Amino acid sequence: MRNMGNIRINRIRVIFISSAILLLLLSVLSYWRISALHKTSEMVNHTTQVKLDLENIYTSVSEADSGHRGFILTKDSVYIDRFDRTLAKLDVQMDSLSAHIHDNYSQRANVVKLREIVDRRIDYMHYLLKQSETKKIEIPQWLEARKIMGELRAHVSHMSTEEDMLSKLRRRSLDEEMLITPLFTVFLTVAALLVLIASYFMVNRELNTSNLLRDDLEESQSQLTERNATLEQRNKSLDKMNKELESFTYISSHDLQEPLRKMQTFISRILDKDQETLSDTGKNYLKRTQDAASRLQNLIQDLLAYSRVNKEIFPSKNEDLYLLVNEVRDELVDEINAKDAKIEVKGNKEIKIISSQFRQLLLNLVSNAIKFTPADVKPHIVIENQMVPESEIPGGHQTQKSFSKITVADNGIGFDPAYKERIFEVFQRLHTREEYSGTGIGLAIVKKIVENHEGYVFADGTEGKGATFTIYIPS
Amino acid sequence: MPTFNAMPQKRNILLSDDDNDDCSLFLEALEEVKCDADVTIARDGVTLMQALDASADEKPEVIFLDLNMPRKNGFECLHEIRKSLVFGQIPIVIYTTSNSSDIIEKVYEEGANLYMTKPSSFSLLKKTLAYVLSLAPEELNRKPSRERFVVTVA
Repeated sequence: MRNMGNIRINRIRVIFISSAILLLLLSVLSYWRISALHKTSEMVNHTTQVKLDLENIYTSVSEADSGHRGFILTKDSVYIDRFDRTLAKLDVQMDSLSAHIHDNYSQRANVVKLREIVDRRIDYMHYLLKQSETKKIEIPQWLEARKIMGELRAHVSHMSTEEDMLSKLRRRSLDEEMLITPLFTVFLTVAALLVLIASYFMVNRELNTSNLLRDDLEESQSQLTERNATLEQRNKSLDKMNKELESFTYISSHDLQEPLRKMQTFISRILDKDQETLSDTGKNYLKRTQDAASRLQNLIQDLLAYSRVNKEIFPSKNEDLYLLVNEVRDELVDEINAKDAKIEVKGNKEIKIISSQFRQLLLNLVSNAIKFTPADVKPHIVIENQMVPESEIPGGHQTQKSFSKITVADNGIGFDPAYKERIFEVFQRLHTREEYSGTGIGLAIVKKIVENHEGYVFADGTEGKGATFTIYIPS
Repeated sequence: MPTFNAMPQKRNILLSDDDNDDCSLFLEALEEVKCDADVTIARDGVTLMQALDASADEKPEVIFLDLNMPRKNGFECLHEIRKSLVFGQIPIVIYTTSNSSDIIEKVYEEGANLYMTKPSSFSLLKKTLAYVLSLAPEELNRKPSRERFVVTVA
């Protein structure tokens, strides 16, 4: 869910960033368009300026011409002053023109030529002025001056024409620009609007999807809550049924004991009281009835013990395994002495258990081990306690939670590994009563106790080579 | 193993048990251990309380109390007797089939003096009864330790 939300947020971010980039691009384009228009219109103005410059230069040269001629004719210094002023003005005008046509290659060449003609004309004027001090100016000399003037006229008009053509071209492109730029601006605005609308719809869609998802989530959450409630209800009724079943087992086993006990008492009464009058077969039958009754009593008592193994009553506490084993030794002292059994404890002392139940578990395992050892073999039982992570347990979760691993190994008759699961079932026996006595409940109780500890129990064995019970209890 | 041969006077015993067989076995066992006793039998809790009320001047020296009885069960009787100012001090021996530790714990807390499971052989019954009745009155009357509360006779 979180991941999907991130994807959604990223998508909205991408939409906004691309819209921003698009709008930025559009404004750059529009700036570029407008500056192009501005440049074109400047170029048009520029043409006018060049033409004006050319006109001014020609006028100045004409003025200088008339000035120097006036001086030569009248020798009046007013004329020579005007001539000098005009020349100064002409310099400025030439510079202005050079600056204005700087970007135009062909006009630049034209200006060089123009400057050459103007210089020639001015030089000739100076020459004539000098000559007029000593002698009269001849007609051919005036004609020469006029010729240069004509040349200048022609060149100026040539440049002007060129500039006109240029101007025409520029004006046309200006017209185009004038037409295109507003269109372009409109187009840009429309495009920006489209981008805006598109991003609105995309964001809207994303929001809708995320709303839908949220609704889905809420719905599934409420479904989950509902299901949880049902489960809880079912758990409660199961719990109740379990309790009822437990008390049913308990009461029925308890009530079963009463008539049985009476039967046993009366049989013992007959065997005592009528010892003499009873026939041998009669006595034998009564003895066998007594055996069967006591077996039934054992069964009922073991069943009762099984149904009583209930975890709610006692909490787990840290206990000393060695002490528990000693208690088991004390309890089994007769069996141990009878077969000269040896019980060893190794490893950690500390273990977290429900002590009364775990004592029962050890008692069952150890007494089994002693019972299932051939008469000519001294039972040797090794109990070991180690810490292991849960991941080491077969079928356990892959966590590092630590468990106490308790193994109870014996050198008894072992069992066929095919029975390693069934061995823990209630009433499951692997031998006839004639071979080994027992009710088949001992290991079922072991398993129930291990389950009460939320642990695991495994049985391993080979026939004739002993059995090992491995128990894992969370620590 | 003490016997009752030397018992000087007649014992006054109140037995409360709804089971016919158990009552007759109880009486037979008493007879066989040669205990000369005056046994009053109450077949349910209500009758037991009535019998106690009636015996104000000649209180029984010990009550054998079954737990599973009709009308009023042994727990209720135990509770009522222990509350009573008149006969609250009479020693009570629980006499029942059950050997469940919760029940033993409960009646110990309620103030029973001894706990005796009905044995499954007659000879064991005789032995157990003989042991209980051999206890001196003040010994029977004392609040026992938890370990010695349940009578076990090998």
